[in-house]
Amino acid sequence: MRLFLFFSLFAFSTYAQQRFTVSGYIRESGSQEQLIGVNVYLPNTTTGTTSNTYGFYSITLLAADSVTLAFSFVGYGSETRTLKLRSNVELNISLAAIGRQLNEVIVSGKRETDKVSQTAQMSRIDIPVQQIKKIPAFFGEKDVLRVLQLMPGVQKGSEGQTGIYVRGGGPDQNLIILDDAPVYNVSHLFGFFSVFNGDALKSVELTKGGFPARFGGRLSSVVELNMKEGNKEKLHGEGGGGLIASRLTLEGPLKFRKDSTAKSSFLISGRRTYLDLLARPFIAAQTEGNAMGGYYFYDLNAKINYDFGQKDKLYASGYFGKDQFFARETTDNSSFKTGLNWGNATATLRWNHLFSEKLFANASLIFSNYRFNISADQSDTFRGQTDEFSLRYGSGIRDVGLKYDVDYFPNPRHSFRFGAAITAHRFTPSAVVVKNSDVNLYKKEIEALNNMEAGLYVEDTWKPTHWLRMNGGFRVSLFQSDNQTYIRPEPRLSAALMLRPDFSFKASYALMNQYVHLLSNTGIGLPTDLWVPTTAKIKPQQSSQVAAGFAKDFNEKGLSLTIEGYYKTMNNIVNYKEGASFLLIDDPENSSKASWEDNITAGKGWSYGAEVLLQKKTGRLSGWIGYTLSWTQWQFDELNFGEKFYPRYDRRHDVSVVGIYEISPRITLSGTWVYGTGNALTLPQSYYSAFPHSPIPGVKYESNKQTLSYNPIGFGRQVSDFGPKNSFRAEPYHRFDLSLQFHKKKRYHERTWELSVYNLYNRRNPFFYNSVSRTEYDKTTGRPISTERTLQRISIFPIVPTLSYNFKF
Amino acid sequence: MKSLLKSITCFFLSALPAFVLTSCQTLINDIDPSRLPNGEKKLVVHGFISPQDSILSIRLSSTYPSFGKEIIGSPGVIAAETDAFYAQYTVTLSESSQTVNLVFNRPTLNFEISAKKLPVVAGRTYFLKIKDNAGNVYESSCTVPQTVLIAEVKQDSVPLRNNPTQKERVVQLFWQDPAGQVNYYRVGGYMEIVNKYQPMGQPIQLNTQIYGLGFESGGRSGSNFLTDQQADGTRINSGQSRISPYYFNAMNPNTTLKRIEYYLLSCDKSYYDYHRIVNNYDDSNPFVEPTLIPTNIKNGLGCFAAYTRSTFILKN
Repeated sequence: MRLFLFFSLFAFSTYAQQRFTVSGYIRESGSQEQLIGVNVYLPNTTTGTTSNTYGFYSITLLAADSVTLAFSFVGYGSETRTLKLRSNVELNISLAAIGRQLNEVIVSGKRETDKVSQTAQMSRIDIPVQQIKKIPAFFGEKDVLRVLQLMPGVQKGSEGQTGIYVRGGGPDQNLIILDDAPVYNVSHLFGFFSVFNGDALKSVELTKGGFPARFGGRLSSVVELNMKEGNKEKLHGEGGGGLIASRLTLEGPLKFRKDSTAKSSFLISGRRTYLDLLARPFIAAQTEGNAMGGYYFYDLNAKINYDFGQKDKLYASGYFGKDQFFARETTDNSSFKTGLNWGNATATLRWNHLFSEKLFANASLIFSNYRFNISADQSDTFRGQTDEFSLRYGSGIRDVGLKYDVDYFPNPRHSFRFGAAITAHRFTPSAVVVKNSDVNLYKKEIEALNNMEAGLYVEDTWKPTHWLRMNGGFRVSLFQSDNQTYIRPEPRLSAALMLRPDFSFKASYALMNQYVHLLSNTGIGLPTDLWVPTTAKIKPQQSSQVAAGFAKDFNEKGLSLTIEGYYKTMNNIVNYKEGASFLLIDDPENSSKASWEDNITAGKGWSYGAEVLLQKKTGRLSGWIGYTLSWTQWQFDELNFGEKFYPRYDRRHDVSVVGIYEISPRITLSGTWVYGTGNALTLPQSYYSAFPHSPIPGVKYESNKQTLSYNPIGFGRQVSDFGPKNSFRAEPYHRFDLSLQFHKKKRYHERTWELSVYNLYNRRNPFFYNSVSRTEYDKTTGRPISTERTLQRISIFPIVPTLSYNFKF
Repeated sequence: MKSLLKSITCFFLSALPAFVLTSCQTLINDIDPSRLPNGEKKLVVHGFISPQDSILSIRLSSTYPSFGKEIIGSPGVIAAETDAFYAQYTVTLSESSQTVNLVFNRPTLNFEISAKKLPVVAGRTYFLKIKDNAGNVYESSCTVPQTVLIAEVKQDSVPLRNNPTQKERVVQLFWQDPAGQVNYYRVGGYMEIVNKYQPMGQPIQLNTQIYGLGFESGGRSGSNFLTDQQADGTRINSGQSRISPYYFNAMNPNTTLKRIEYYLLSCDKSYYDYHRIVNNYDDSNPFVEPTLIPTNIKNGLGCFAAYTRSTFILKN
């Protein structure tokens, strides 16, 4: 109510003077790629706006004979335009990337923009894709999620894994959207690589708190990835090869008439690993051609757009990726073939429409599908009879969605966004088909579950005075399951109070609901992890988070510092019950619609902590230092006897230091150092016999006579006493990576040789622990004397040097 | 510059195979014993009391560290504890003002007393107290649930799935659940079989065998452990127990089925929780989070619980 009053008063006070709107698209000069988040402002004032996801901006100002507008963006040269504002003006701007030529050094002087202290939004991290390409990469594969892991408040799971844990939330609590389409499994090769190919991406943005109302559906973070549109000027290519994979991206204009400017452009990008191709001859040689096996993954990104003019634009984009394990063996009378594969497919069709210079709308049609399949086929021929057996197991989730978003820019003090989204989910928790020539067909399918999720939101970025900025919003989310409909309100608010020109205090609150749940035994992103919906029995997950902190820009040094503290509570988070797994869900004897629900238990979580980020985005030396101090606790009635415990990835301290130094235009040196407290694990402390009650008699032999005897204490079973859950702390994790890039511009292309070393000081970081026992034997008699049980640390990556080659033209 | 790049490249390329070869072994390392849980010894107590038992029994044992050195053949989980171990404990059971001492019995390995000395009665609470020579005290208590009688036993003959000429017996138990309270049940049974055999040159001998029977087949109620959750006050049925024709048809003249006994235990929550977890305990699957075994023994581990038993004898 009060907010409404404020709005109304504001409207009355401003209607009198005449105002006009400057609007248009901001693009990169050359490629004509639309730029997201460009600052558009009146120099030396706080009046300004930013371009939206499609590069569109709109700013409404008082009529004047001369107005100067500045446009600036990190990594790009600034532009200023002076214009007469006596009517609405359409102004499209091109910004030139700095160092687009050889070295890509982002050198810039003092910049008025991109100050963390200036925006109301907090807990948001955006990483320039160009910077991602300079940070040392694991096996030479530049990975967006791995770079996000280097940010405070964002943690990795185990060694080498790309899953991200944001402020105490699991990897399932991240809304990861690629061109508006949610990606349900972001892992390749059991989590060692993410599915995002950096060459195809334009921007990456992570929000870990103070969520704007336009986002919903997950508790802990939003990772928004946007694919490039494709170069509109000329054909451009980029590619490379490393130890594991090769990749190639092509983009260019699509012209229908030779002399015209391109209204359309495309981008196509692919990546494939080739370990299987390298291994194939060796396997074939060893088994005389009888056996074959291997593993590969690939990604394909494609995008095409058509520009109907200033008012309408159409984009179609898609992603398709797959991981495939396979093995087959044939002999004279038998054949065996098995496979394990999983993959995502997403597709988005988007239509931008400009109703007026102040009103921008986008409609998206979204498709996303994740499938996991196991197959096995066996045939044995014996005395002319052939026995055949085949098994198919599959699980997955499929979404079809429609989304409509409107941006409304009434005046420089307000920018409204409102919209609606509706998604039809189809969950296939498990489907098994077994065929056997003996027993005929056995088929067990847990009925696919169809659910509907919807959201309605409105938000306003409001600058009531020069010292206060706010983003307030409200979202209503809805989920339809069985015969139950959940409707949940989600208020959101973030505000920045400017204490000094470059120093602000920020605070935010966000309430989030999550209606889809991931059941995971390991939390490391195995393809067996299962997405399940909210049902009448399994309630939606809910979190509320408050965060507060300071943001300070140091203009002279190009540094920014943010310090944030947060407190988050999570309700109805789900987990498997102790001893349950996806295999139990699929017990063929017992499976019924309810059985997977019975293996799930719901609980609560708390996470709180402090994060410090000192960042330098520009200059010869750029990078950041991040530190997180955090606590996460869970409480489930059915886990750890109802007592609170630290989940596996609770991390007290987390440090990352990232540095990129341009030694010369031709050489870039970069390094990262990370440190993290060890994972909380459950280890056996001691073992003992658990004696059950025996309700049945035994047979007793006494002087050749048999009688029945009763001993209520039955035979013991050796079990372990683990103490409280996750009471063992693994050793801390730390690692230093270094990379050296050599750039050279050739006649038609530019190439980069990159030498990177992962884990330079060869730290043996734990991947998992395994208990082993060793028996000592008497040297003369050969009898066992003693056993020693100990715990082994299994590490997977020692120092790994990688050489890779990249090119672009 | 070119030469620097070349030499660095050469260095790494030549070093790479060496790293790969040497690293495999050193990637597995024992961790420092000081980081390991010390596995301090704990007393493990087990006892299940019921009004239908003639002897009350309590079993004591010890835990052994999961890590460290152990001499083979020393007392432990496989071998029984030493006499000295049992000698250090005094075990008492009490109910209101009555307290009795239990005495260690080597053949059964239990601390025992006749139920006549301390009758176990439904609805009453029993306290277990164990003291050791060092003055440590371990305690627990349980309340005996009311008896729930087997109301009906249904027996059916069903053709075998893989051999329809033969029929197996399918048995189900039914009982009335007392309303307004949470009840926990265990169902089961056993067969007493007598086998006739004649060793060479010797007279015919009889050998008695006991086979346990479960009610684990048949849908959602197919478990030996049940509760009245969502079925409070209703007539509850067990899952199905199946007996193979092998035991009762004429094909095996040397095998005689002497009796079948089915039981319904009405047990307390500790009994139910402990048995269900121990029965499903599996530490061999690396993809499953370890199961923590519940205990109601203060300062120790194990389970002290109560039940009442209702029996149905099918054949005598």
